[in-house]
Amino acid sequence: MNSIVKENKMVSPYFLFFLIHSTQTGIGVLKFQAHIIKGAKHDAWISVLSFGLLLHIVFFMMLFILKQSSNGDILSFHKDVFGKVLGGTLNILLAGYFSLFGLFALHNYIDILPIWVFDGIAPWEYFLLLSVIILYIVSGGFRVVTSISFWGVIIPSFLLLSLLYLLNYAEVSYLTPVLQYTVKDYLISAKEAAPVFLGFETVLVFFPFIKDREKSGKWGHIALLYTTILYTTITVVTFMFFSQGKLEHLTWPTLTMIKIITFPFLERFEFIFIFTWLLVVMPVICVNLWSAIRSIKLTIPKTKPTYLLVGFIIMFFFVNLQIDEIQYATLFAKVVSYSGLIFLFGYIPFLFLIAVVRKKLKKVTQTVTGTSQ
Amino acid sequence: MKKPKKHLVFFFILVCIVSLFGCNRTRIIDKISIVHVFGFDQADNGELVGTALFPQYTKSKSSDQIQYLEEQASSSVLFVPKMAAHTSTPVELSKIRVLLFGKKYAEAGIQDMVDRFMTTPQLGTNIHIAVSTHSARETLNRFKKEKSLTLAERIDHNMQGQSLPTMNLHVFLNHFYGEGMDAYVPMINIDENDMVSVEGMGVFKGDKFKLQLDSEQTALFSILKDYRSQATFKIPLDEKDRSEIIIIKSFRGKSKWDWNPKKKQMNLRLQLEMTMSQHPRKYNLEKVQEINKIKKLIGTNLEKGIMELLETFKENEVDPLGIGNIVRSKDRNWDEASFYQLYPTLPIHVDVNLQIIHSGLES
Amino acid sequence: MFRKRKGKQLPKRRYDTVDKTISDVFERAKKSSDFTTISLFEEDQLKISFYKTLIDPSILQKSVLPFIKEKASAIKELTDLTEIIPIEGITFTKDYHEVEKALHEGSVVVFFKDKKDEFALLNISYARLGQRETNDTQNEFSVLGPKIGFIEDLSTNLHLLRDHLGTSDLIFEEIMVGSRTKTKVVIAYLDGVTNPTYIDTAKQRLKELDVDVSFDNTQLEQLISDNTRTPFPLFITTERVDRTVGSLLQGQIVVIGDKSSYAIIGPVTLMEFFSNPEDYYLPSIVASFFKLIRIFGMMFSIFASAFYIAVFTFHFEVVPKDLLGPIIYSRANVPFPPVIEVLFLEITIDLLREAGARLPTKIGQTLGIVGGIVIGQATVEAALTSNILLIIVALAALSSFTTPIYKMSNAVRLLRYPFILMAAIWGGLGIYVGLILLITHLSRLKSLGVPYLLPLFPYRKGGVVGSFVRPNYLNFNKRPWYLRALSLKRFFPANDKDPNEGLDTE
Repeated sequence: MNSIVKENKMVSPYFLFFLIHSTQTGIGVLKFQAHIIKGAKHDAWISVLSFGLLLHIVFFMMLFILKQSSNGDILSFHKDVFGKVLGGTLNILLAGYFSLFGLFALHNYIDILPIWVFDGIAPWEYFLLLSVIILYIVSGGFRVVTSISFWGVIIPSFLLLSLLYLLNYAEVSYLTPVLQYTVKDYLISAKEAAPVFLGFETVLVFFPFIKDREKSGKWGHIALLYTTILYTTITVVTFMFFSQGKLEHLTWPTLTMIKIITFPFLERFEFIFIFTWLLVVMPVICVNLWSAIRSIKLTIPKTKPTYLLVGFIIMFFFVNLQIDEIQYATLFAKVVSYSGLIFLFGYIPFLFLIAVVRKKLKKVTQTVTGTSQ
Repeated sequence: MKKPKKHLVFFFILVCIVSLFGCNRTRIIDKISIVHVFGFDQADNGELVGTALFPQYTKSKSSDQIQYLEEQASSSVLFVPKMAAHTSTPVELSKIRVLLFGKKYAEAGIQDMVDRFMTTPQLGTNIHIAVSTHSARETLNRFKKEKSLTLAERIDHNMQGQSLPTMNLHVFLNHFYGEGMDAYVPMINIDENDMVSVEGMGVFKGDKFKLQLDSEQTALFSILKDYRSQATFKIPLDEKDRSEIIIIKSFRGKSKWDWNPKKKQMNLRLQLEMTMSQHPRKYNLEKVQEINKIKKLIGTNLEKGIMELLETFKENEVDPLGIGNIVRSKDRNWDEASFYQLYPTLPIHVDVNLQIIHSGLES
Repeated sequence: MFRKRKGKQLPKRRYDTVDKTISDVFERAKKSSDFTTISLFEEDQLKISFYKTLIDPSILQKSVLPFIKEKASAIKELTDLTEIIPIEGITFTKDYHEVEKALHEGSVVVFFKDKKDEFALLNISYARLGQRETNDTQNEFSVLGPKIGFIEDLSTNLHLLRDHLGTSDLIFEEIMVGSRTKTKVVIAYLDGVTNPTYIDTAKQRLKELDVDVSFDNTQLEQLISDNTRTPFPLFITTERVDRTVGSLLQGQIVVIGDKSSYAIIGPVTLMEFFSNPEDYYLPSIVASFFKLIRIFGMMFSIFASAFYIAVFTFHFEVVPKDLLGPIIYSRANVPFPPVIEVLFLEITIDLLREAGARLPTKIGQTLGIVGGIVIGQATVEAALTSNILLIIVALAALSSFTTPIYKMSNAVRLLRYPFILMAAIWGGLGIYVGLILLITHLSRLKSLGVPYLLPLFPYRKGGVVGSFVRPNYLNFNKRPWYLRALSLKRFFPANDKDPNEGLDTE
């Protein structure tokens, strides 16, 4: 596989772990427990676990597609398979999908702040502040984006230690009896759990920037496994902490859990938690935005990426102003989660089949030309 | 963009930001009124009466300058705006440490108030919640007269070192909404000397206050429910003689419930570790038989007390121990309604196993 | 993807005047009063010209003039001078550029009056005139260890280095910097250990430098660094010889300049700014503990005032219940919001520091005490600030000096202000936003091409522990691999041969 990316912009393979893990963890982690109990109630952690394990297959398909493409990313794959025009349109659609995802993450984070922390401050002010950071990070190139996703995993991992404090209040009886529900209930829970796992599709675009591509696949699998285990642990702890009846009434279960932590020098740990969560959300927004810009840049030549970046931010700003009301927020969430599911479970297997067929055709033509010589 | 112009724009933005945003949405710590205790009562016309106590730290370091506010409103959310009309600084609820309900209001049903607690993100979740034997207003007035705002500390140390079972808003809400459990709270009493005392606990059925337990029953409840409870028990051997008494203090207790689905019977096995604070002279603790005799005495006494307590619960149809939840976790075919129909006649067998760790300096 | 535009190539120009002939050289030189020409023999046959202020007069009087005057008749050609004058290193030249250069280096020029195209140059400069003899590194003090520091003379500095490292792998390469001052700058490195890319980068940058003067090595450091808009230093500037020798052995390069007592070391990473040579003279546990305290001190210094503002302006819920009373009581009479208080105190402390640095020593001590104690006490009494804030700001100011490199503590001092502003406007969120911007900025920095946040960010195995803790000598035998040195092993630590057997007597 040749690549058009210079050596001094590539990053080592183990960064794939951080990139994938950081783009998956976003705002959904704070809210998802209230939704997944709709199906299987206290057994929903099994759905979370199984959905996460299912994603390994999807990732494997993705890696296969990428190996078949000429440049190592999905943009060139589109161009190879569908031709220049149709492939280009698909790339632009992909850019739109990624930017939608990024905007969704940003919008969600800005939603938390007025409720939990500051009252009476207009959301567009936060947006301006955060867009300064986003501009600074994304204009630094892929290495800087990787560094943010690295720190966005390392620094918030100290927050995981707070889960230990919560075990004080854990009641194992809330979890038993196990496997009490029908398969249909589990599927409903899995569908509700899906939005938290989305986000790693950007690997299709930034894969050429990883050194040692053949061996780096294992880091991706480790990252998916780590995310799955992390989410399952959080789910299990939440279920042990809250009774089912209370959980149905909560909109932000994780944050409500964290409220109870007190240190001698710091009451109300949840402020630190919310602010550190900014570091978790940043990689999602930045990687998605970077991928969107790269897709457009490679499809339509002669666009200056800096202008694209500023353009995207301004567009986000206006869209954000429009969807400030409550009904749009739920609509938006539904749109994003459905499109994510369709992308992962519909479009990727479709491309996978095309890649398999192409590989077989190539082998056939090779053997034909080989034997004819 | 040329260099000097870029810097000018940047500087201009900075000045704008600082001047526009820096001023009017702050909550500076000495310019707010921090509510410490909030009490809820029901007025005669069905409206709610809210009472709040604020320490005025700007006048003194320790909280002996207290301001008291009382407001009546039809919904709890309206309390803050009405109270704010009387204070010189904004009212802030984030540091409330005790939520107090008046008895009459608790008996009438507190569902709507508890719903409000869930949806206010400003309240912390490890705050105390209690019910007063009088009305909340009177209790808070007493604190104002005493010039000390230590209700939270009183409840705290009684939970840790004495016989109250541990409870905070989070566990209360879990039990309130959960199936198979009823919520319980500590009770605040105003005794004969006009002093506020924290003793006893009360049990809710659903959202209405049902049953009040006295201090002995509370002690038994706390050793059943908590792992580390330090309740003190008195076992009189002879009613008239004051020296014929055994006093034990519990150290740890582990309860194990078993459900027998065929016979529909619960078995409770209680493993207790206790220390003996006082025992009659005639028992010599160096001999093994004497120790066993004392242990048997204490054991039977405790078993009797626990059985009586469980009977009281069954009569009043309340379930603070969460027996329903325990059965639900063990039995797949559990149904809330049918279990609670069975509950008043549910046979529970109690078995107490006692270990005495030390007996102080006495031998 | 987001590349900056390339800078325009400026035309090469010389800014000083160019002389056309040798008589121009002498004409110009005669304008200064210290240019002397001595004429010897009758009819001024032999002339010796020099700058009086640059040469060593005792050598001239003792070793040159007597010998010339003795064998006056034997001098027919300039080349005869080699046999007459006992000093080595006489060069003969016809190029007037060389003559000019030699005059400025402190040489005497000998020529026949009528044969003005051939000159003999003899270097007898007195380089150490007016400079101090020793430097006992008051600015980078350490209790243990040698207190030898560099001085402003290049050859003494090079002597100190070569004296320490008795290996012929130590290479010095000399470059001339500055079109007017023509300062000599030397790059030192260990051949076979240092990665050649660093040497080449540094050499190339120095050669392409087009300035007229470089006052001090610290200024040179800014001129050749990768990014000039950052407050963080991208090279370590140090006066100590042991630190320089240590970094040479690790595989870094050292740039030493004439007229400067500071050596600059590159490439460096952020964590090296916290290590002190004294760490190597103390046991590893003690040294690691102090290193952690330094790192904590720096973070405390940046964030302490910002946290104060954020908590007391926006997030009062975070304050523990027992502290609430004393804090509010202490702030009760202060009329300003926390921002103004903090800015007032911070600026006062910075004023004190700047003024204290420039006061003459005798006045400085008294005024320092007055300023520090009296002003501090008075502001609390006048209720302009609360006493808790005074403690915090004073501690933060002190802890900014825990890092051993002065330039880094300046960066820390500066960084405090943006964080204060961000915290005042957006509270805790502002602090986090500032933190993210800081981390991004640090990730973009490169020192001679090496990322600044190594070994934390492009994670290198074994590097993280070494940044925070000073490892034991037994584990320390390899060079840190992020420097991509050409050879990794430094020494083979031998196992203790008799660990548990004590002496025979007890």
